[in-house]
Amino acid sequence: MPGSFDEQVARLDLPLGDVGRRFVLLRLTNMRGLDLNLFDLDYDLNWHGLVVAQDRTVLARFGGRDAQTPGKHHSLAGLRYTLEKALERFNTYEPRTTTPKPRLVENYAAAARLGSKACIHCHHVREFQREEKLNAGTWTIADEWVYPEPSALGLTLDVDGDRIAAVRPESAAAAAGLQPGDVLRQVNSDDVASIMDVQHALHQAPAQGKLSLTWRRGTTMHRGSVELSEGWRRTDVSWRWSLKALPPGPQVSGDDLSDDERQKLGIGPTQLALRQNGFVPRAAEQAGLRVNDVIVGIEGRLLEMNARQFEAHVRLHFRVGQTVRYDVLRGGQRLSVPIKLQ
Amino acid sequence: MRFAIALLLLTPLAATDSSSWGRFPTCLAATGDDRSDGPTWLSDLDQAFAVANKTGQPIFIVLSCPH
Repeated sequence: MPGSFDEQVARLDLPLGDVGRRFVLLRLTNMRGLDLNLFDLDYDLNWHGLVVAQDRTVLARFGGRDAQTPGKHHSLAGLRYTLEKALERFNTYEPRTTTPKPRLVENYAAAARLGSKACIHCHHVREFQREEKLNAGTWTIADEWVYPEPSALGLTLDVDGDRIAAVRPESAAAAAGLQPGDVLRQVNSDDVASIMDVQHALHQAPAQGKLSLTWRRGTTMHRGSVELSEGWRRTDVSWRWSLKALPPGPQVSGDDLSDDERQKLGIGPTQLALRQNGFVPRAAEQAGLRVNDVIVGIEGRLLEMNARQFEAHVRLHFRVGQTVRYDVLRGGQRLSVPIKLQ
Repeated sequence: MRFAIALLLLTPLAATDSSSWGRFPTCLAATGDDRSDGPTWLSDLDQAFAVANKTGQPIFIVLSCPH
C-alpha cells in the first residue's frame, strides 16, 4: 500500500530514492522558531517541499493544490524532477555574502496568544500577518490573493515537471506566444522547475504591469512578457484555511443542496444553494433565519458559487457591523432575511 | 491498521511540542514498512545545516504542517 504522498516522500519511494539520498533530509512540523526569510511559503498549504543551500538560498519549491483538490500538484515524478533541477542549480548558483536578520514567527504579537509551547501551524503565520496589517490599518482585500495559480495567466502546467500542458485561448500567456509543450524556465528573474516555483514567482509580481517569461521550445530559448491587468491575481481562494479567521463570518453555515434537491427547487447546478445546518447563530436566529433555510443570494441577486465560496465571498466583500439581506427559500417561499455581520 | 495510521498522523494536532515528531521510523512502522535501511530524516534545522556544511550536500526540507 503506497500510503499518502507524505509517507511516500518519507520513504523516498521510487522514483525518488537515488535522487532523494543526495540531500540532507529534514522534516519539520511546526513553524515555531523558523526564520520567515527562509520559510517564505504559501502558508495555507499543509505540505511544502523546499531545497535549501548552506547559505539559506532556496533552490527549489514543491507542492500546492488548486481550489478544488488538496495535493493536486503532488507527484513523485514531479518532485524528482524538481530535486534534479535543484541539484543542477546547487552546482551553479552564486552563494550570498550576507544573510538577512531572522524574522521569527514568534515575533508577531498574535503569536503570544497561542502560548509559549503551542505548535504554530503554517496557516497561523498568514493570520498573524493579516492581524498585524488590520491593526495598522494597512490591510487591503488584495492581500488575500496570494500565491496566484499559473491559471491566472492562462497557463496549465504539467504536475510532473515544468512543461506547459495547456494555454487558454486569448489569455495573457497566449498573447505572449506561449504554447503547449513549451518548457517554462524563468518567471521574471526566478528559475522555475515546478508549479510552486511559478506560484512563488507570481506571488512577488506586481498588481499591474509586465511580467517577463523565459521558455524553451525544442532547443530554442524564447523570452517574452505578459501584461498583468488589474485583478489578475483573483482566483478562487475559498479553500484557504486562514480565510476562516478573516471577519466577518457569514452567520450561516451548511452544505450545498444535492442535484436532485436543486432540480426540485428549480435552482441551477452552479447557483448558490446553501442549506442552513442545525446550528443557527443566535444573531441570525433573532433575525429570522431557521434550520434548513436555503440561502440562494444576497440583496436580491442570485449568486453563482458553492457554499464554501459563499463564506469566502462574505468575508472578502463585507465588513463587521454591516447588515446584509440574505435571499432565502423556505417552504416554497422566497424571503429576505437581514443579517448583521459579526 | 488504518485507525492506527490515522492516530499517528493526527498526533501532532494534539501535541503542544512536536519536537519528537518527524522521526519517520515511527510512521514507517505504522505503514508496515520497518526497513532498517530507510532514509534518515532529521528534525532539527540547525542540525541539518551542520550536517550540510560538513557533507557539502543541499538540504531537502519537508514541512508537513497540520491544520
